[in-house]
Amino acid sequence: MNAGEPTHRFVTVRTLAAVRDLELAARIVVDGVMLGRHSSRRAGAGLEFSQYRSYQPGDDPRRIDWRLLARSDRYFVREAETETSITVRLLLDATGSMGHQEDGHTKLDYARYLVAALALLAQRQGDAFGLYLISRGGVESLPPARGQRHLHRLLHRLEDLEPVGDWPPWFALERSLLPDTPRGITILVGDLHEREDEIRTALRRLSGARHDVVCLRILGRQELEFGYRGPVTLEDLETGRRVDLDATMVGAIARERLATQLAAQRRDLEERGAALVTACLDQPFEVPLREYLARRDRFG
Amino acid sequence: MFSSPLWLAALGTIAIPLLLHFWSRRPRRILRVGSLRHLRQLPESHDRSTRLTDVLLLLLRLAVLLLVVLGLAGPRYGGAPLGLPASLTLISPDLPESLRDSLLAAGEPIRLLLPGLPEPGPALAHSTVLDTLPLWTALAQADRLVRPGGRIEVYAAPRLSRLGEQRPSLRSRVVWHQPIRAWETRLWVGYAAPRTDDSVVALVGTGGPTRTEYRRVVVADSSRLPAPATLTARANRRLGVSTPAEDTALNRRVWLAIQVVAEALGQSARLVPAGGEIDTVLWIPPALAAGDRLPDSLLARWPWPALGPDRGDPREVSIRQALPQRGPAAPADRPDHGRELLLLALLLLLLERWISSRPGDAA
Repeated sequence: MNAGEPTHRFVTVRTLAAVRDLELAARIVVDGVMLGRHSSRRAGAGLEFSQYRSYQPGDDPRRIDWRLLARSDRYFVREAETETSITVRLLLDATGSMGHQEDGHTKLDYARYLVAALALLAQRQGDAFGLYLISRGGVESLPPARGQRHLHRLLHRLEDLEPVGDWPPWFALERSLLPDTPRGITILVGDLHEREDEIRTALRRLSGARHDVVCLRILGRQELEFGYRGPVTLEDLETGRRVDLDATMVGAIARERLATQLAAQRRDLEERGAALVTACLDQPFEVPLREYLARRDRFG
Repeated sequence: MFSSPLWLAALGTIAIPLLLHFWSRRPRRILRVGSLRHLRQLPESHDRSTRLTDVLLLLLRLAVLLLVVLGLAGPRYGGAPLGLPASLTLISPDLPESLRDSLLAAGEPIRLLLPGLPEPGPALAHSTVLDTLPLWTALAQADRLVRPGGRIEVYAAPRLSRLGEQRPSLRSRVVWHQPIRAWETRLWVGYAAPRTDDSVVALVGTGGPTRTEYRRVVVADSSRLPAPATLTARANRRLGVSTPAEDTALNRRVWLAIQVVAEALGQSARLVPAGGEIDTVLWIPPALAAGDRLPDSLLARWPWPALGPDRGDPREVSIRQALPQRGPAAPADRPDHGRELLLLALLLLLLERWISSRPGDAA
């Protein structure tokens, strides 16, 4: 962090724990990320009216509003929203593994704030956004739409979300997840823990649908660094399987294996054009959100 | 037996690895995690081997501690005894020669409690002895003449223990004997022997805080003994009597003498079986055991008491039985094996380090 940067740009899940209103939390996160960035909507030629502005030399004379000229005897150019809006599809992994908790915060807590912030960003930029909750062996969707009311519906749906079940097979997701619009971004927020390769299969299919695919992988610090000590019993949140081990003794092996597994997953995703950003529970939301914005900027 | 048995107190340290072991065996923490995929094939076998290793390491650590403590304590076993004696007896020069003779006859290595610890020889002037007796210095000297962990037996009057010097640090164990236990007993019998003129001669000793005197008392009859007022004795005093040979006539004479003196003191004497604690030793030197015949008049007056068959024959009292009760003999000094044990402990420690640093059984 540079000395001149405001600290509230680095909002963490711990910071937001005291904010009960999810929309307010999302605004805090988005305002922090957007500080100093370009304003949200793009104005220009289009069908939907946006605003009037004074005629400037070089403007297309065809865009002068002649009726307003007749009334006010001044030249105004009629502006409309540019035709750059896209569809943002937010896939949220709400399976049992997202219940992994560190310092009192679960991965799902982190993901909830992140998805809310992404939705708010999309709403501010005039994009259509939809929510797809994946849990209990299926998917629950809130189809893409625009506007404040849709944002509230989405936030409300996020409020009472609980991590449960495991990742369903592709055939259970296909009908809901395959996009019907060619222009858009599909963002998967989750820990990408899979029993075999069910998540990568889903992402491969989504990448093939000409959508940009961004994976925001959320991991716990302890989980990533295997920061456990002494004799422990590890329990898989999705399968309930338990393993007794001496964490101190197997720590190095566990770290090495997890790193290998994550690297293989990243390679697999990037070969198919999907971006992967890893965020830790104790990290600010800025990193994954900036990755999203970078992707969004490609659409103009 | 150990050279430095105080180190055995350190055996309590064995509790430390035991406590740590059982502490590590407490119920495990259950941690709920997102995935165990990267731990497949690793955990169970690894954990099981870890537990087995733990037990092995515990045993090794216990063995290391045990060996270190035993090594420092210096166990002595096997091998031939070394040069220095395991025990030494020091006696105060002012004690009766009869006691000195008894101890010598028992084969004790005896030195006098005098500067230089001389061996018993000609009698010394009591006044010189008592004024210059450096008790603790003498004990320090004696400590160097005894093997480490040995024993020093001291026969001295109680006043010796009241010396104000600082007690030195001794490697040996010091055992005190106070042949004259109570100073109110001023009169006691050194020996008694019959004379041919129907009288009995007795050596009567008088002990006091500064000196001991002996008097020859010829007893013809009780009326000729000193007045009871000056010849007081403590009741129930146990007198150990030892004769140099199986001589019934001599035993009878001794018994006769005891009865004469006891009666003169206003006391009664009775025979009890040998053994148990005694207050004074009556040693009959061989020179006094000349075979004079006892006059019938005396024998008739003080007849030989009858004892039941199950109470033993009081005439058969060995020297050992007559001596004051003593603890078990000091162990024969054996080679100290502490170094070997410490070396073994070091080897086990290296083995323990090697096992504990061994990488896990990664699947």
